[in-house]
Amino acid sequence: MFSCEDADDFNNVIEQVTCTDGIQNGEETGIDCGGECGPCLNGLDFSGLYVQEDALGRPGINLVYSPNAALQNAYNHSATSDRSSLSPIQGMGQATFPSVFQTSLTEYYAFYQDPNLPEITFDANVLGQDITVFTEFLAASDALQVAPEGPTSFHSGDVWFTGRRLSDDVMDDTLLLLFGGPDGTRFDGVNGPKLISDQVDSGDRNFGLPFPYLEAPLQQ
Amino acid sequence: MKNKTKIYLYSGSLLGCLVAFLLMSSDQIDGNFVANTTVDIADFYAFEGQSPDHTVLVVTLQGPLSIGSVTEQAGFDPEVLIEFNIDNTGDFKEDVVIQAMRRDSVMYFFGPVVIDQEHQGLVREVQVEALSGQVQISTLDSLYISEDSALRLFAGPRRDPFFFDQNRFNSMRNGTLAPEGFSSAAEAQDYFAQSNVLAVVVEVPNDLLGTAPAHAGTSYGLENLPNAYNIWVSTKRKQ
Repeated sequence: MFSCEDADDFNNVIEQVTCTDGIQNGEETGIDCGGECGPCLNGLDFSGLYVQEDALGRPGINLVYSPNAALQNAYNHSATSDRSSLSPIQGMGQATFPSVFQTSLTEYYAFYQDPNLPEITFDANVLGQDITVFTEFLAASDALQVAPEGPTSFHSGDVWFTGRRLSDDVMDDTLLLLFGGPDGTRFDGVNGPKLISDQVDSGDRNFGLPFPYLEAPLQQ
Repeated sequence: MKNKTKIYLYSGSLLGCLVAFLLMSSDQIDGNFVANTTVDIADFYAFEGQSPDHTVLVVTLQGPLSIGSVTEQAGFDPEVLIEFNIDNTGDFKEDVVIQAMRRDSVMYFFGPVVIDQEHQGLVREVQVEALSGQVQISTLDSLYISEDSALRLFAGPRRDPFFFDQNRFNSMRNGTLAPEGFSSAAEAQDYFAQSNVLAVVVEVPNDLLGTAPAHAGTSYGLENLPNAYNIWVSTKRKQ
């Protein structure tokens, strides 16, 4: 506690309450916490080291493109900055996440191949990315890009990756980048299977609520 | 006819594969070692708040939870640290984190707090000196939110906001061939329509997150995008 005599003639003591004086005073609800100070730990123990077991940036990147549990696990246990083509996957030789993703993507397309027809390949997506740029982008920058200024969405019109709203149909967006081709219409169901949309929307969900924005849990 | 059969089989194989891929999409149904554990992240959302100078961060966990006893019995694990990681320099290393950790019926929040270079990465301590707020964990019947600090805070069960036709893919994975691909809009069904999740929601003033760097997509051929943070969520278990 800091105290001092003021400069008048009455020798009265002024108490100056601070959040660092080591006692509970003023509006505090504990020693130097609560009231005007920060919240109280209440003696709770938060000690220890915590190690990453799961991580998520963009929807589904790891599990769409990592072909088995070992690689999925390696992805979840890797730092976001260690997923580029410059970073070999720990314990997996020279393999990198972009190279693994390229293999997965190529295999998806190989399932479509009619041996009597010319080879079909990924070509490019609606973002103009070829397979090398696309898979590097997916792995090496796997986070939600979130714009602090202006609208936020996963995909809206021509704008991609400024956030992810609750209402965004990210599954259709993911499929579009994978199967839509350069103009977004490849594998649209007119010629061959319909793969660029699961045809499900948000149904009766209400995404127009105030904080915390999510609907109350459903009950029986 | 031979060709047609071939195409059919190829399509069937494809769809079987596609099923496996889509089942696991968005991390909703984790096919890896974290599935059905308390570290399992279902989804992550980040969007502009009702105040345009705020960002809302939402992580959903342990989903999808069936209505009733499964939801009632689900709870946040006090051994698991939930983190929003914010990169504001463009190197995909977390410069700022917001942490959440449960103690009894309260979720405690730490940060936004700067993480210096030597502490970035896979191992973390709870940044107790940056305790910034707390909120009573909501229940099925009671909503608790905290607006005592610069942050708005929520933790508890909510309806799952994720939507996707998973039954279609379950049936295909079980061998039902569907060479035409997805169902028609009339037939498609949202597997998550009647599900809940555990959610943590933080609404944070943007000025606590630092200045956003150039959009990451500009390095990968994307143009005319606004500056943007790179944000991901992680769960870290106590060793």
